[in-house]
Amino acid sequence: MAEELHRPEEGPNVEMLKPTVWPMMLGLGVALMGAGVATSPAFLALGGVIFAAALVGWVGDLLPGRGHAEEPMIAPPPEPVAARPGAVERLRPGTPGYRFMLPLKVHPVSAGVRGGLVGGVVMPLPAFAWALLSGHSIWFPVNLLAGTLLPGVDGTNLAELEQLHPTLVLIGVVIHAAMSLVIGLLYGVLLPTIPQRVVWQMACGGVLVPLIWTGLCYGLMSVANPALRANVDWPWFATSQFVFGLTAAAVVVRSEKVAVAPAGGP
Amino acid sequence: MATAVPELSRERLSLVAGLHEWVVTVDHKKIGVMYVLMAIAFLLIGGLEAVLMRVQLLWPRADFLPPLTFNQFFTLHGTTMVFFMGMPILIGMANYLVPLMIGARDMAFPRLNAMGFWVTLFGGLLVYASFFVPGGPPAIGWFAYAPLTEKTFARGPGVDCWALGLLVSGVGTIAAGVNFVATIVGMRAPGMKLRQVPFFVWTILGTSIQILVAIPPLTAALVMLIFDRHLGAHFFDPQAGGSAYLWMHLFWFFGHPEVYILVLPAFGMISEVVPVFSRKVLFGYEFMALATMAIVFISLGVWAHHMFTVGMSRTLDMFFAGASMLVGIPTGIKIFNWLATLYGGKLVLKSPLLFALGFLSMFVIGGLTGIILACAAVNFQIHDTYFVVGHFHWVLIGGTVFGVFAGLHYWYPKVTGRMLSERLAKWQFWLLLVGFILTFAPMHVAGVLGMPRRIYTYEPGRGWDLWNQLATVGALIQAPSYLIFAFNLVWSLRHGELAGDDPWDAWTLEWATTSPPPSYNFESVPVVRSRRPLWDLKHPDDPDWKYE
Amino acid sequence: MSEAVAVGLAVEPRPDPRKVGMLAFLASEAAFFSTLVVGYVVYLGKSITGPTPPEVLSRPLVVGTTVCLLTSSYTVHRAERALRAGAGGFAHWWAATAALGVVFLAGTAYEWYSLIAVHGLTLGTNLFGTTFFTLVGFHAAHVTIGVVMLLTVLGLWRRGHLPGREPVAVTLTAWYWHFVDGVWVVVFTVVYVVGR
Repeated sequence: MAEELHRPEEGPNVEMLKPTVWPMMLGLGVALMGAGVATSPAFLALGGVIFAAALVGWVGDLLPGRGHAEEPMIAPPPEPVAARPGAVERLRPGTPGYRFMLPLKVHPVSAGVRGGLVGGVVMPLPAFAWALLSGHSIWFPVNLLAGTLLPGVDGTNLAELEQLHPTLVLIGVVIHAAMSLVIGLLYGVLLPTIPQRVVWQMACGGVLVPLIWTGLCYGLMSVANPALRANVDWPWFATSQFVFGLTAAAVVVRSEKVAVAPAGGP
Repeated sequence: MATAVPELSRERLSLVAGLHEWVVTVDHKKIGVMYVLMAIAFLLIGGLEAVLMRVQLLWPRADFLPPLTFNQFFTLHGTTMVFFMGMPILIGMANYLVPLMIGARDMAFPRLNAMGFWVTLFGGLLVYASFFVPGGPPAIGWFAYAPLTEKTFARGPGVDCWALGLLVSGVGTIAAGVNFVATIVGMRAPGMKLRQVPFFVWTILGTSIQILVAIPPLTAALVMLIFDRHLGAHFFDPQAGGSAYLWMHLFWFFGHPEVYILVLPAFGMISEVVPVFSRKVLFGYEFMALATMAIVFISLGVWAHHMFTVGMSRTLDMFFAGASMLVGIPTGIKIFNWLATLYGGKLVLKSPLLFALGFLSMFVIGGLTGIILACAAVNFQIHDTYFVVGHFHWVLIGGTVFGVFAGLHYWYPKVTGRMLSERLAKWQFWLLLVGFILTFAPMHVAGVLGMPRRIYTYEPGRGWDLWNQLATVGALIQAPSYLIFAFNLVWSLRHGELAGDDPWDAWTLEWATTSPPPSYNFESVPVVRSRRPLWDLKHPDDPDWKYE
Repeated sequence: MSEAVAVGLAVEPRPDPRKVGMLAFLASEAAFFSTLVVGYVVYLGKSITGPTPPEVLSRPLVVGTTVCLLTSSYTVHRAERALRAGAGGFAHWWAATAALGVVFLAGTAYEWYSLIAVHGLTLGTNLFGTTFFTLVGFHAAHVTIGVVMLLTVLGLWRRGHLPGREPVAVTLTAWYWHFVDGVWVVVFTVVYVVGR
């Protein structure tokens, strides 16, 4: 059936598929068989016969040279496309009446990944500090983090959560690393899109995003794992988010800017 | 040979020869036109059923329609509008447009294409043949919950006609899906990359993927139902351990992607109309394509939000509520992209843009009520009330129907060579907008007041009277708009202004050939170097490909 | 295409639409069978009356038919290779594939006969019968269609209607056959290994 793909470069003829009745007959056969199931076997038999005949006819159409015909290109050609130069003007820098500002240089996205990694390393410090100050073991925050993903970890077995569980530690580290990377990447993408001033970028990355994130976690955990939420010290949680946000944003802001590829390529 | 005769001069042929030409055609354009005509016929039938139901609900305890007839009508109305109006009109328009847009001479499998149309039509006729069987049409609702569909409760062959009609037309839908994927992936014009196809083609690709994944489970479920009814199987028979729950899951696994099958092509049409009529390129094409694919995949995992009240686990409730709300994000991206395309553009307020603006404003509201319904806790209260009816009509009419009308007004000149009457189109638009809002907004209120859906009448004094009366008045305002449209289609065929090849000063390939196009579509296909190949031809000094 | 070359554009080769179409069709078939498999798994052990799978399903017979079907995937591959290499033997390997398919169907027929006549298990007996006959039956129907396709292609090839070393009809039929085989691996695992 690929012959209709063939496009002759020149010449008044084009090879097109011949009209054929078999597709319609095949459909009729299928529908009659359906009607036969619903009503009477006579329809079923009739539909079966039509279906079989149509199938044979259709396969016949597929044979080389049977299903195609040369068709002359006799229709009037389309109106020639008239060039309309200058009918619409493109927006270019300096076009009056439009805000048209694009930064020439921005922070690279990779800076976000680096920021996420550095932030991820610094972030556990306040968490451990909290654990020690409040009399928990340092495994407690790690286990809590792993508990957000694992079912069955809740407020009922607090003593368990003070212990070292290699599985939980592994899961906690994986969650932490993945989230740090993803959010760092987000910083790398987002921060270059806001006004290119250090104050704004630090405020966005170091304050706004951690606040939103803390709020999200608070809200989601009250749905997903309310028992666990009670064990989190939320001011400290927010603190560690701020530490992450400020670190990651600082790494991004301090990175060397790269030139933006001009729109539309060279 | 017959197909070489341009469509408009076909009156020279005798009627029989003319009909024969359409029956044996494998031309994607004729098949597309037949799909659309079939869909419009079913639209009028389904619309008539809706109007009769609305009249029955005008007063409490009315007896305009007997209860059984009412139940049969809402079953047929839903089935018709989804399977024999919605999908065919979209598949038909895509059939006509996709090969033209990508610079191909036809679809990948023209004969399969013809077969797809005919089984869809015969499937529709089979469903309506249930009027002539003992017991009449099915009275099971369009989602046909088991065990109501089992032989014990639905003895007549009406349910069989329904199930087999959907089964048969489903074969046609799958064939169309296969055909679109093959055509879009394998038959684009030389040079045209997948990220350069007109946006409509992207949405058809997404829709086709959904068809391929979502329709076969429905087919399987229908087969199970038929086995239950005729071969004594027990799939949905609780007395033998079978479960009505399985039908719900299977049906909605099809049923929810189905609403995206119905709305994605409308998104595509809007994405063609809005740029041309605001004289700006589509804002954020890549993001739109990504959002489309995101909708395709997310929407495969949301089906059970139709089933919160059957008592799933809390985890499942949360998962499906969350996933359903997630669909709002890519959809929202699209809305903002359309707004950004309109922003600062030189709007040409012709009928296609009018319908597109109607789409934008109405679809947003429908989307928001969808988020309300996706919230499991709220859903427990308003499930199966008129709120749901109001919501999905708001999406399907405010989304699909407005989008399709924008598209039909936009491409009618290409198909016929003549313009639709702008005057009639404006009458149609305003009647539709006013009637539509008046019909379906009150349904939300009635639903919140507790009115269940699918009741053939109601008691006075529940506070539902006014809302039902408003809705019925709205339906009576809406109905003429569809008739005006049907009239406009026929009238403009002879009396419309001559359109020429490119009446809208558009940019995509379908406007580079004659109106109507010859059977072979293009004499020679231009090499495509950008998303707007026709722009490149018109503006050789400032072509698009420099900027992409 | 010469125009494209003239303006210095690299025109990337397009995948053959017929192959893409076949893949799309097979994807929809996969969705169909997944639904039937889900139905089987959901109703596993939910039958109210007997017989149950361990009582009536004979594993040796099915292992035999499975081996036949898996071998046929190999023979169809050999047939394609023979045709591509231009060496003889295409018709033999291809016919062997169809023959193995028929043996598989015969095995299934024998299995069904013993289930129905000896054990009294039909579609209407219990949920196991319902889901088993539907799932295995649809697979057998696909094998039957596959055998018809194989024989049709063989007949057309013998008459010289399929010229060339890689006629697309041969490739697509082979893909379909591999798919039907793959479905059987899943059915076999679910019905005869896990579910028994």
